Amino acid sequence: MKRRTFTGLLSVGTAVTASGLWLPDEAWADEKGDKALATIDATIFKAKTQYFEYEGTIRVPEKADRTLKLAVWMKNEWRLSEFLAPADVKGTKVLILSPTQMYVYLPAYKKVRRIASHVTDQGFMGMHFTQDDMSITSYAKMYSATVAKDDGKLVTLSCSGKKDKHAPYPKLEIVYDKAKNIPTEIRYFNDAGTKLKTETRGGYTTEKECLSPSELKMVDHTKGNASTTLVRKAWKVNPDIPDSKFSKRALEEGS
Amino acid sequence: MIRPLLAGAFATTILSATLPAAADDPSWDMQLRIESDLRFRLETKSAGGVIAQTTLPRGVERNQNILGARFAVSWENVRAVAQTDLVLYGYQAKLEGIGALSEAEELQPYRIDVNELYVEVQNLIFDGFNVRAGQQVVAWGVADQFNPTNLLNADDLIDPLLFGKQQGNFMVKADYWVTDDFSLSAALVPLFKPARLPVSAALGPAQVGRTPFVNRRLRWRTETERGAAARFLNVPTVVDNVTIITPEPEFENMQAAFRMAGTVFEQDIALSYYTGFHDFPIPFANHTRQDASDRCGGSPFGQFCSTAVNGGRLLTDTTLGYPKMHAYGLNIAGEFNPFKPIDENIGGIGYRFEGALYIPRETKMKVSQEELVLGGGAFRLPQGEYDYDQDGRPGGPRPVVVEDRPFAKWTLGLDYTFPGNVYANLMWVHGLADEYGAGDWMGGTKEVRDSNIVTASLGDLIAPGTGCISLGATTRIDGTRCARETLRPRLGDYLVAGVDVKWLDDQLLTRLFTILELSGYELTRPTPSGDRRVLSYPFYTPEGFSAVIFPEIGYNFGNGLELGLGALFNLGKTYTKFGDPASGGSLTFIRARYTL
Repeated sequence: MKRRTFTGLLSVGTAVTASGLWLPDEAWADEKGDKALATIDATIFKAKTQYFEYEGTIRVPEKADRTLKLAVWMKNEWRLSEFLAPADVKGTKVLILSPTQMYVYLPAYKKVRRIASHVTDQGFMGMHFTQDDMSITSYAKMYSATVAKDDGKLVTLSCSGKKDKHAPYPKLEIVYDKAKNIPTEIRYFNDAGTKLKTETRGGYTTEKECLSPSELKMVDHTKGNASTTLVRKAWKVNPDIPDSKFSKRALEEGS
Repeated sequence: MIRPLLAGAFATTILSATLPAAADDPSWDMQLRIESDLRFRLETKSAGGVIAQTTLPRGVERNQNILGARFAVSWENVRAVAQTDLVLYGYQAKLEGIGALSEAEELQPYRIDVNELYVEVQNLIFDGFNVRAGQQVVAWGVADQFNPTNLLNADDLIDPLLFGKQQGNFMVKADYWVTDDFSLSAALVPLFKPARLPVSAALGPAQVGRTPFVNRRLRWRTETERGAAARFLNVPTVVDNVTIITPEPEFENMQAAFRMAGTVFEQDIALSYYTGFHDFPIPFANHTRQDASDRCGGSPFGQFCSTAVNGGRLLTDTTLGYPKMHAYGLNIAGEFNPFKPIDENIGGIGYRFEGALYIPRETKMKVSQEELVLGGGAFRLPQGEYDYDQDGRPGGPRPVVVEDRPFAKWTLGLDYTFPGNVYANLMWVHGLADEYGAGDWMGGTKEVRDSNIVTASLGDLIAPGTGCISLGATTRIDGTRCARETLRPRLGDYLVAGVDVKWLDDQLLTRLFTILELSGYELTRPTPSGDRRVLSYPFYTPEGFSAVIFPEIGYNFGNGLELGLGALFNLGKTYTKFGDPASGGSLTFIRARYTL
C-alpha cells in the first residue's frame, strides 16, 4: 500500500489543500538532516559491488513459519536476485537495471519476461520485503531529511521523498547509531502518515571497511505484524562481478 | 533415432573442441516434481451424427500423475540440461483382447515427454557466441501464452489448462551477443514436429459440415450433395479414416529462424524471421467410398437407418498435411506511464506486443471418389477425381483451402499490479495458434463452422428453375438456393482478461481468467427469391457468444507443496470456437504438486 494510488492521492491532495498545509518536500529538510543521510549512505553503500546470501523466515501469526533462501548481487544501481529455495521457486531470478527496466526469469516457463514498475511494491513468496525495499542504493538521492530526535546515541531522521526521484515511500523515519552512522531501524509511512512497516537491522559486521547487518527484520503493520527475517549467510564485498552479470544476456544464458 | 544421434555427435564435437585440460569441478543441479491431476468432464461431448459419432463421455476426463525431473550440469563454459516428464495416464479406455490384461503398458499407459535434452557451449571460439544443440524450447515471443512468433517448437495442447505450452524439439541454436543487450540468433530445426492435440480433437474431423474450400460456389455445391444424400436418401457421410502426412525429412523441409533483439530507450525490441510449416494439420485430400449396406444409428439416432438400396453410407478418407509458410515477427515489450504527470511514484503499466506477418503457401485439395450410386441409381458420381468445374470431365482446377494471401496474427497485452496484491492482465489476441489463413475484419475469407441444406423435400431440390439439382443428360448442381452455412473469420479476435488476487501472505491465489471471442458469427442462407441472406450474430448474442472462463484457487504451503482446484468452462454453441465439442467441453480439476 506504500506506492501512491489514485484514491490515496485524492484524499491526501484534498486534505492538504483544504488545510493550507501544502509544502514542498524539500521544505521539511534541514541541512543537518541531509548531511546525516549522506553520511549514512557513505557508510552503508560504500562497497562498489556486493554479493549476499540470505536465509529468510516468514512469520505470520498463528501460522507455521516458512523459509526461503536467496542470493543477491549488487553493482551500481543494478541488482540481481535469485531464489535458491524453496524448490518450487528455485531458479527464479529478478533483474533490476533501473526503476523502469526489470526482468524476471521463470524457470517453469523457460522465459525471460519483462516486468513493469507496477510490481516493485509487491512482496514475493509472502516476503514482507519488496523489490523497492531492497533496491534502495542511496537514501540521500531519494529523500530529504530533518533531525527529529537526538538522544546523543541514537538519532531519528524524518525523511520525505524527493519529487521525481522514485522514492518508494513518501515518508521514512530512520533511526541511526550516531557513532557508527548505521541505521538500526527504519519506519515506512504512506501518504496519510500511517506507519506501514518497521525494519530493524542488527548484528553489523565489517568486511573490507564496509558495514552490513547480519540480520534484517521487516514487520508489516498492515498484516497483523507479520514479519520476514533475513539472516545473512554469505557476504562478499567488492567481488569481481562483471557488468554482464546484470543483463538480459546473463538471464538467458543461465536459463 | 536420428535426432539423439545427431545431438550426441554434435555435443561430442563441440565438447572435444572446447573442454579445457584442467577445470573446476562441475556444478550439478537437480529438481524433482511429483504432480497428481484429477479432472472431470462435466458434460458429454459428441460429434458426427447419424450412424457414426465420436463421443467423450461425462465423468473422469483424466487421472494423471507426473514425475518430472530436471538435471543440469555446468562445467566451465559448457552446460548440459535434461528435463523430462513421465506421465502416467491412470487408465486405458479400451483394452484390445484378453492379452492386453497381461500387458503392463496397456494396463498402465504412460508417456515420456522430453522437454529439454541439450548441451550448450558458451563463448565458443569468441566471447558472446553460444551454441546450444539438442531437444529444447525456444520461446522468443514476449506475449503471455499467446505467441504468434514462437514457431520453432510445435504447440502442445494435450493439456488444455496449459495455454501456450510448446513441445521440446531437436534444434541447433546459435546466439551471438554483440553487446549485453543486443543479440543475433539463428536456429535450425532439421525435423518437423506437429502440434500435439488434445484427445477431444478427434471430434474435429467427425464434423463433416465444415467444408474447407475457399470457393463459396464449390462449397455450396458439395454441401448440397452431402446434405441431400443424408436428408432425402438416408445416406450419411462419415469420416472413416484420417491420415496425417508430415513433411519428409528433406533439406528443403528443415525449419529455420533468425532473430535480432535489443533494447532501445529501455524498450525491448526484436525482429524475427521463420521459414517452416504451420504445425496444425489442414486437409490436403479427401476420398469418398461407398458402404452399400443396411445400417441403423445408435443412440440418439436409433430411428435412423441407411439402406443398401439407397446407397448405404459414404465413407470418407481424409488426408491432412502441414502447409509451408514464412513468418516475419515483431516483438516489443516495456512499460509506459500515463500516471507520470500525476505522480512520478505511481508505477508504470507493462505492455507487450507480439505480432507476425505470415506468408502462406497456397494449398489446394484433391477430392476424389469411387463410383457412387445413390437412390437406386438415380444419382451417380463416376469414379475418379471430383468434377470441380462441372465440365463433364473429372478434375479441373483443384479447390484452394489456404490462399497465398499474407495475414497477420498478434497479441497486444497490458498488465498492472494494483494495491492489495491484485494483478490484472488484459490482452487482445488476433488469431489463436490453430487458426491459419487470410480472413479477418481486414479482409479475406471466412471459414465454415457448420453447414447443411434448407431444402424441405426432394421435389424442391430437383425442381426446375428453383431447385439445386438439374437432372438431365448431365446432372448439374448449384447449391446457391440450398446450402446454409455458419461462418466465422479464419482469424478470430479475442479479449483475454485475467485477475490474480493473493491472500494469506501470498499463499492463497485466486485467479479468474476469461477468453471472450469478439469476432461473432454469421449465418448465410438462401432466400426464396434465390439470393442469399446473411444474418450476423455479434459476440454478445446467444448465437455468437463463445467464451472460456477459467477460475482457479491455489494454495502454496511454502515448502514446495501446492494444491489447486478449479474449472475450465468452454461456452458457446457447438459451431463456435469454444463451444465446439472438439474443444473438450467443460472440466473441473483438482491437483497437487510437490517440488523438491
